[in-house]
Amino acid sequence: MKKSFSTFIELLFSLTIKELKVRYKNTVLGFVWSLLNPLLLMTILSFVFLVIFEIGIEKYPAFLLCALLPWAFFSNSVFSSATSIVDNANLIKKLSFTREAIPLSAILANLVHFLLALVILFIFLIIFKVRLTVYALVLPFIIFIQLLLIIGVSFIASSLYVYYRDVKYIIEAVLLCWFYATPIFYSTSFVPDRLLRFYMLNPMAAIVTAYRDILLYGRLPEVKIIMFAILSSVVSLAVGVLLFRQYKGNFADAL
Amino acid sequence: MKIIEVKDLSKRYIISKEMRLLVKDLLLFWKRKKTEELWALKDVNFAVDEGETVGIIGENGAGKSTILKILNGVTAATSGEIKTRGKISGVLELGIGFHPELTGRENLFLNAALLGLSRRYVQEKFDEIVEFSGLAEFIDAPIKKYSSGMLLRLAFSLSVNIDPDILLIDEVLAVGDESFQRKCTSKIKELKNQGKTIIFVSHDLSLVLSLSDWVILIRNGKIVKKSKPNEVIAFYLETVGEKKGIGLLQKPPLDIIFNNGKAKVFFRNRELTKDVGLYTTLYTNSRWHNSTEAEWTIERPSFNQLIAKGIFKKLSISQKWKFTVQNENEILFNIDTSSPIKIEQSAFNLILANNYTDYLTPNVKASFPEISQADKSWDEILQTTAAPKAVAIKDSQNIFPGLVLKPGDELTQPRLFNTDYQLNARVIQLINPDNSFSAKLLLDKKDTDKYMQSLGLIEEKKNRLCTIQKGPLKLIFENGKARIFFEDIELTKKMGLYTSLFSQFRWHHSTEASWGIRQESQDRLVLRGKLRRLPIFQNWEFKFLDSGISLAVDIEPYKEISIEQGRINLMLQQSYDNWFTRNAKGIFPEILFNEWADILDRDITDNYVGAECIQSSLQLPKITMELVYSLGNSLVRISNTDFHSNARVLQFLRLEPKNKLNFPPKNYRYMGAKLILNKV
Repeated sequence: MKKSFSTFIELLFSLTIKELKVRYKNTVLGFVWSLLNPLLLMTILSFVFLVIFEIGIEKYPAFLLCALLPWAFFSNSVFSSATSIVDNANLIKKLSFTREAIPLSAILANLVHFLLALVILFIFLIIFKVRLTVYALVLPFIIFIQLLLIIGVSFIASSLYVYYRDVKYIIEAVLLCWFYATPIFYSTSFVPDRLLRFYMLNPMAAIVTAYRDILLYGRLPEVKIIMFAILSSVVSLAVGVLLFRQYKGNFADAL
Repeated sequence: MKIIEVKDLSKRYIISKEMRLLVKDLLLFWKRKKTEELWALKDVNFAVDEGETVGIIGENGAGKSTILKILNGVTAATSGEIKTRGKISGVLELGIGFHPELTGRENLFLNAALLGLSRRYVQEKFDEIVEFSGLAEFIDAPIKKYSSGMLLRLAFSLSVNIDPDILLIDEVLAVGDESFQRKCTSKIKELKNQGKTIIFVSHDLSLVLSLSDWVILIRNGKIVKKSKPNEVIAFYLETVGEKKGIGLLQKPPLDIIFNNGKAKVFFRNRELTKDVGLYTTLYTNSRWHNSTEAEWTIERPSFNQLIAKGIFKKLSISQKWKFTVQNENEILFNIDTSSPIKIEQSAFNLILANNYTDYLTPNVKASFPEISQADKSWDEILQTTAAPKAVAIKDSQNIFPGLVLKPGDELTQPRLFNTDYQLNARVIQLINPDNSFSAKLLLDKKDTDKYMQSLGLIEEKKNRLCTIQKGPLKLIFENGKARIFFEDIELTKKMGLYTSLFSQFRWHHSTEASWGIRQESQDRLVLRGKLRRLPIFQNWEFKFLDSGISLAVDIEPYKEISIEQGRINLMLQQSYDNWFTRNAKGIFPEILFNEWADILDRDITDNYVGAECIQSSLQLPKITMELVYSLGNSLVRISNTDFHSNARVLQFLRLEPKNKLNFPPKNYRYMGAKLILNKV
């Protein structure tokens, strides 16, 4: 069935709006609640690592938030889009439309949250007297790369979940470990040299480092890191898109 | 080129017997998985031309919906090829994608996007869609507040405004209440008329029969039959129908399909009935119930007979319908009801297409009034005190065959209705205090009037009213008697001008005959009557004269008969108070008695007789009746009638001589008279 691109964009738009509306229809300060999680985590982690561990990283709460918010974006997107196809089984089984719109709308809804949360981040940076440099303008580019990574991983997760129902639990576990494997509450300087090479194979490590570099430290990230981030995101996207395309034809049968 | 081409389409479902886990599959990738193969479709081949409506029928699980899903792009085929042209839209289920928290408006836009409609298109059509749904007031309320009926209307309203080239409909029509289904069906008919290609799946065989151009029957994933609707449905019903309360009676070009308490009639593949078609209703327990609420089973005792037995479970009432197709244009039905509780009223209803424009009963012939938007309820058309013996309806454009409904017994009373604007149909209803109905339905394509006559239903038809007029003088012939008017005032009374014959010990009046008009012109009227109890034709000729009118009476027996006496009678208004003949005159006495009173009884030397108004305030013209010819002995008689008739009578009598009573078959000039009027 041939559907035009603009119809697809409109559908994506409609589904994303629906996600956002539904989430906040009956809540007061709805958006604020979704921000609370990273802020709370930031507070607790700050207390634990500043007061108890005396981690010695300066402007630690800002340091945390620069990574926590992008992490929340990644983690929430992957998690909600993973189950999105199955959750919308009734649509898949009865209607014909570009299936990719479903996980994509979950991701985009989370992107909206992330962008709004960035406002809070900027407030925090001001509070902690962090000076933004011109390199902060690279931000949209980093966000875009992260988005590609997220889409790739989400497509893989959501299409697998249709056929294997344990994928949800696997993702939960993986994300948990992934949190620790990413330099969110510590910096990469804490990682032993011999492990650093393998450690940096984590695309989120590269991305989080990039966010920190441009926002907190006001400098361009290393070329190696940027390159790797781009490469891993594109690969992830390619794998995700191909896998999804392969399996989407039979979604309606498996649900 | 066809708009849809399906070649060797097959669809396989793989069902795994055990729960699939990613971890297991990754670790034990070498292990063989226990799976089962299910071929939902196997080598399906068909092609559809643009503008065709194709119905797909079959048992549940046969694969009907699978075909639609594949055509719609919801699921992929395992093998085979599908080629389509143009925009396809599927109405596979209504209200998919509706989210309870969002408003009607928001849901419309969301659903529209899911259906592949551009936002701009929906914005343009928004008002139209909301109006069609009738939910304008509630459109900005969250749909969790809507009733299920409202939800359906909203969803349907969007779906039908899609304007695709190909429309796929999957049993949506089974959902919703009667008025919703009616709206659905009429919208589909509209789309059909617009030249859209429609593929629909339905279990309602009567609907499939009326909407489809051709039908596909699927069984176990394979096409079993692909052909004209009545052929495929008949084939299907042979194996399946009876258990489901569906039966088909065929006698080409007549098809009757009974479907769980309603029946539809098709003639030459055109549906004569409309909406529910033929059904019964009964009123008991303070509520109306209709036959579609019962559970039905079918029996086919012979190829031209169908018996349907229905049980209203909650009421313990059972009803038996028997249809017999006598020949290709005659259906006999008998409906009996048995009930342990009292049924206050029951009715047999036949809802017919509004192409039927005129109706006839033995006494009335008229057109159905048009149904307008203001008509919100049924309108009774025929209001008679006596139950007509039969009722017929016809299509003035003669596309639909004329229908005559003849009740089987005297207790059954037919009634005619126009329905409300939404249903837009005609209804013939039968009422019977015994709650049983029997009637014959006859179809005729030619002249329904003549058909009714040929059935002996309109006996009086030949006794039509006939009027001739010259100047102030007017004559109205009616059923064997003539009424005379001068300047629109009637001079005659009751029987007026009529003839009588005495034969076989009784009188035979001209009103006891069936009359037909032979000739009619400005000043001449020729009539022929066939007496009912005497084997004789009577021919009358009226001719206008300078100041009057003449009547010539011929008789034409077709079997030898004996006639002893014949009369020409003229009954006049009681205002005529004076009489006269050539030689005498007098005053009419008052009419006081219970029987006729003779005033004068003379032989015909007085060859004229007359009456006039002298004292009366009503200045009626002087009437003179002159005998023109007569054989035998002729007399003249002047009388008063009895008190009830209250009229004056002038008569000419012709008495046959005793030896000349017999009249062998021949035409005889019998009697003739002239009526001369002089205005006073």
